Amino acid sequence: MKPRCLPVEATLQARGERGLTGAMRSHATECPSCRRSLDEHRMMADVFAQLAATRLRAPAEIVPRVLDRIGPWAVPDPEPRRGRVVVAAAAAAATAATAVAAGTAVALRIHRHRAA
Amino acid sequence: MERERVQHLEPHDGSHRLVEQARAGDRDAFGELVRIHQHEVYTLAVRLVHDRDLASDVTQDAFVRAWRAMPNFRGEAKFSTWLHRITVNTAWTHRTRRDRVRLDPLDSLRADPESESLEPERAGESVLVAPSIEDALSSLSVPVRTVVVLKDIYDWTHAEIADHLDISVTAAKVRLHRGRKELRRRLRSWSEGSS
Repeated sequence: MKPRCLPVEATLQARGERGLTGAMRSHATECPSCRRSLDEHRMMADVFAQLAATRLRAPAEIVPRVLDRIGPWAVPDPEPRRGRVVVAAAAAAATAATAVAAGTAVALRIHRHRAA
Repeated sequence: MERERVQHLEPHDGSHRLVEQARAGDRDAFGELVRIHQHEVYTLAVRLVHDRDLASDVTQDAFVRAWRAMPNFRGEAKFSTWLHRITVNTAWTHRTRRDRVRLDPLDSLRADPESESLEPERAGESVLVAPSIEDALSSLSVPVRTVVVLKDIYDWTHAEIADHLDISVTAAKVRLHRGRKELRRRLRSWSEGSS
């Protein structure tokens, strides 16, 4: 591989054939190694294009099975979720209040104990 | 891989009304969307997991996940693109579960009438090369193959791939480079063997 081959290879990898400059293209026509790289690149691009345009037939059971698995209530109702959030927030608030009350009671007890 | 001469076969994505109805919980509308997009989703699943039975499971699960996530679909992306993303995630989950099982994926692709192409028209040398590329694809490791499939067949950007697979953009590029190199090596040995 000659030094002039490296940019051709790197450009093909990174940006494809459209990234080749005029100088790279003319080098690729003269250099057997780069010509081969370009040919392989074109062939792979073509194959991938064919694959992209090809769809496989899905097994017939897919539609009925999906429909069996989804129920009319599968879409979550936003209301219960909001309700759950409210309940969770209330529980958190109650826990915090309890903790504050307990802390205050302990502090008072310590204070009384020291005062006595 | 650039996309000269590529004609993407987007499925009929003029399904805006169906999507809206499905978002509102219309099961029949969603069923119609499944009918429209099943082949597309299945094809992607086959290419990702390279096993027909597993791809069928992935397809079903992807649609079920999509149904559950319908209220979150805001239409920023096309519905088919959104489905592709769900399919990739689902395939990844399934594949991880069954990762220890070494499958011989191409057996299930080659001889199975279920896998017949919906668009069988192909022409030129690439027709002959395609099975060779499919062979080569199946031989790549799952992480490398996933990147090659998403980039070179489905035209995802490096950023999209990285984001979805939870890897860096650099890692995505490295995997792509590695995969293409291996594919070209195989292609070369195939064409030398056939000449």
